Amino acid sequence: MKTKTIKVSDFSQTPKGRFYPKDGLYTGDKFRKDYLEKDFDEYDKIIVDLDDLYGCPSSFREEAFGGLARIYPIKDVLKKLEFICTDEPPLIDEIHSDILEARK
Amino acid sequence: MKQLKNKSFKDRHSKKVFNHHQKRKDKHYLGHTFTDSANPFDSPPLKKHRLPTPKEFSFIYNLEESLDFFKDFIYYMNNVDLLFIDMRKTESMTIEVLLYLISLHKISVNNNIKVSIEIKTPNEKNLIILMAQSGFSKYFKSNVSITLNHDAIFTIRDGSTNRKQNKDDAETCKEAVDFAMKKLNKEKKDPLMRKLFTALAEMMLNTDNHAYDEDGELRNWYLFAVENTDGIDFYFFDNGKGITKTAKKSLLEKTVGTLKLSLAQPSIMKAVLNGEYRSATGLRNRNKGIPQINELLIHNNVKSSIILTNKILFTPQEMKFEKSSINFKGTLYVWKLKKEQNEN
Repeated sequence: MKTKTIKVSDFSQTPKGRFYPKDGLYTGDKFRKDYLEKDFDEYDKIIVDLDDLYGCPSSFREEAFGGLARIYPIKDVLKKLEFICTDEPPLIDEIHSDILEARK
Repeated sequence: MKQLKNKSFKDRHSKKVFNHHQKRKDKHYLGHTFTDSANPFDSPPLKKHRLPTPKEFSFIYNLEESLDFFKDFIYYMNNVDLLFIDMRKTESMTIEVLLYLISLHKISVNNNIKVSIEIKTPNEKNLIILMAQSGFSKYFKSNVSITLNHDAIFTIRDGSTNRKQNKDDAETCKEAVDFAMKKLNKEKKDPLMRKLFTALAEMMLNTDNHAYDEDGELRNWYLFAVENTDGIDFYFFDNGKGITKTAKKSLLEKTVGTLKLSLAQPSIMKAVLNGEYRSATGLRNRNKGIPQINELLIHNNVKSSIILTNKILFTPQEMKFEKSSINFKGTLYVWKLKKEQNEN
């Protein structure tokens, strides 16, 4: 199984907003395009590490992960992405909700 | 030729008037500048107004009177040349009213309103300290001169300055969290610090994306914090349309002629904070930002949080609303991050 780990903090410790550059420099759509979409077809499993951030605003989260579920089938996104977040464990459930509600 | 003659006469006459004024310029009588406007070649007399601040100058503790002051302030800012803000009778004050004054001043500068504003400071020393803390003297002529502990102040930041300096707003959120971490001795991964970052980010985004119409109005948010004995007081606000007006507009656009909704401001506010309200797009995946702000405001380590928007002052921790008859143009959030008490 081909696995890749992505640390969101390598992208930015202060992610914020949906759309680049309107909402900021480190936005959800930029992270999705530069990290998630790039590797989505190539890897069987993508582990997203959400530790070491200042926070993870809903705007960033929804556009990055919910946005991915608007491009790929929701079940594929849920199957392929795995999350680590020891700093704020409830964040993982919130991201799952973002993915499940992405097309509503 | 006739025109030239007239011009020459006018020049000679103006010179005479000028010399006359040179002799009398800066003449003061008991602190009031003398103004002579009898001559037809003088510019029209300055329109002046003296506006006293309320005895208790605070949105939090004296909403109606303080909003009434700002209603007058905005009127006179646009209609006189010289505006004296007389704070001498003010006995108590909270800092958000000063920050709001600063924001209105920035708007007047942005709109090229040629008004000169002078401040007569309060008599109480603690109020003068408050004024110095707010950074007031950078913006207004006043006699505030006091030495402060700058280490305790997160000086006022604003979105329009960030834009001018190409600074990412997220950087300002980080600076505010770093300030709080240092003062409260907490780590970045502390749940309260993470909530602070996300709430600030969502406040800024909400201002940029929803608070203003596309009509060239100065889009801006302001952030300020100050440490005191029991914690850190944070103030965030914008001069936009306000939460309930934005939400009401979207609800009306979505439901007109189909549903009868309760469009009273407190009902709208509750729905927005609980995430029940969805944007005009109707998408469930949107508008999660304000509920995330609310999570900070009702946190156990936060106290005295309020939201003032349009005609309501809301206390999230008690779910209490105070109504006003005067509209507050914008949204103001105030909250205190509590210091942990040492058990000695």
